[in-house]
Parts: sequence; C-alpha cells; structure tokens
Amino acid sequence: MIGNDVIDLQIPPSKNWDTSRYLNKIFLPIEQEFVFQSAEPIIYLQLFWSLKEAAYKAHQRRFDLPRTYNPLQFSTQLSSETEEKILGKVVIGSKVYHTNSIICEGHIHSIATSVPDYNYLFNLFDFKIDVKKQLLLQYSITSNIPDTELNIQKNENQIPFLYRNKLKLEIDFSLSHHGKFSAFVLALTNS
Amino acid sequence: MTEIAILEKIKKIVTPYVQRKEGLEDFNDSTDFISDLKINSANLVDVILDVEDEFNIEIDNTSMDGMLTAGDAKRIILNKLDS
Repeated sequence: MIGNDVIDLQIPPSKNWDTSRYLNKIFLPIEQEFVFQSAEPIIYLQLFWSLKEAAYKAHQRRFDLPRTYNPLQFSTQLSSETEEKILGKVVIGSKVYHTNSIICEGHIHSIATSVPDYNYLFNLFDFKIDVKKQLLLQYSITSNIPDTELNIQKNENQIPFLYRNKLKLEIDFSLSHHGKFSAFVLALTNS
Repeated sequence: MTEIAILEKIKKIVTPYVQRKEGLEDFNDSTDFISDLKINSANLVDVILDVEDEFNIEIDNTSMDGMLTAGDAKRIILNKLDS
C-alpha cells in the first residue's frame, strides 16, 4: 500500500509553528526534539508532517478507514539522510510504513509504503495541472487500457479508486497537491 | 450562546485558512473542512488553536480526532462549554 505528500515550501507553515501549543498537538516529544536539533527546524518540521501525511494516506487506504485527525498516533523517525533521499519510518499501532523523501528546490515530497521494496513510479509537477488526469494517462500507458475508459471515484471514506468504466480496479495509488506542486504515485505491483 | 452564533464564529475562524472560498457560501453543519473548504491538513491545528482561544476551552486529542466538519466542531464546543 502506498501514500504520498507534497509540500510547497513557498507557502509559509502555520504562524504557530514554533509554539508548544501547536507542536504538542501534532508532534510527539521525540519528534519535536529531532526537529529542533536539526539544522533547519522549519524545514524538518514540514518534512515530519509530510511523513505523517503520506503514512496516513497509505494506512487509511490499506484498511479503508474513516477519516480521522490523529497525527500523534503516527510516530516518525528518520533512518538515513543523503542529498538524494531521506529514508525513515512511521509507526502506527503495530504497523510500520517505510518512507522515502526528497527536499528539493522549493518542495518536500514524501512517499510511504507498507513494505520496504515496493515497486512504484511517481511523477511530480511544479505547475498547475490536473494530476488525476496525469495519473489516468500514466496508468493507461502501463496497463494498455484506453484512458477514455478510466476514471477515479472516491468511496464513502473519501479514498480515491481507479475504475475501468464501472469496474473498480485493485490498483494502489496516491495523489497529493499543495500550492503550485502536485504529484501522483502509482504502484506497479499489488500488495 | 446559540448554535447559530457558534457556527458563525467557527466560520469566521476558518475563513483565513480556506482555499476554496465557494465552500463558505453555504456554511452549515455538514461543511467539511478538508473536502469542502480545502483547508490544508497542517492548518487544521491552527483552526483548533483559534477555537480554543475564541471559546476559552481546551480541545483534547480525542476530540481533535473527530473534528472534520463545522458540525463536529460545534458539538465539541457545546460539550466543552457545558462541562
């Protein structure tokens, strides 16, 4: 299962971002400690948020859960950092999600998967675009199904699913957008 | 405070964070902060902090969990004001 989250760094985070009232509602003490010991707390704060958000999407989709707002139940840690990628983990209850993030010019993009070696492709756009349409075009190429037969519908928990005409397809994917950025990830194998 | 007055105050609180302004036109109990108003999930905390300040209440994490619509927020506020 897969989830992703993009953050446009041009959009300032909350005006309350460095107050304990704000932080205590969304980050665990250990996460706050890590963020504020980092070289750039304001960036790491948003990175940690994107990890929680990406893992939330994967978890909600995996178990078809109703929407909730419970960021403190997602415990986040980083395991390795290079210029190309930042790897980490998000734990919710007994489930672990493996994260892969990038901090680039102007944005943060994080992908969370339920297994470490998950086969997916993603595309990120730094301009206004219909990202759902882009996903459909990509899946059309991958599957050889004409894109005119494909559509996306949300279920009662607001989770999006791919359909071929009226037939629901068991394909994992995730969409995200923020500011001028949008992204999709599409699983290449089912899991 | 009447329920209508509470709803009006919630509308005022969320307005700065709303990215889909049309969603405010018919603001009612079922208005969804994320799907109707497109409030960024990271800004939901700001909404909660502003609600705490405006009504002088504390919203615990369990209440925060279920605060997805204007109606949810109203019920949580009414409960806290009663207790």
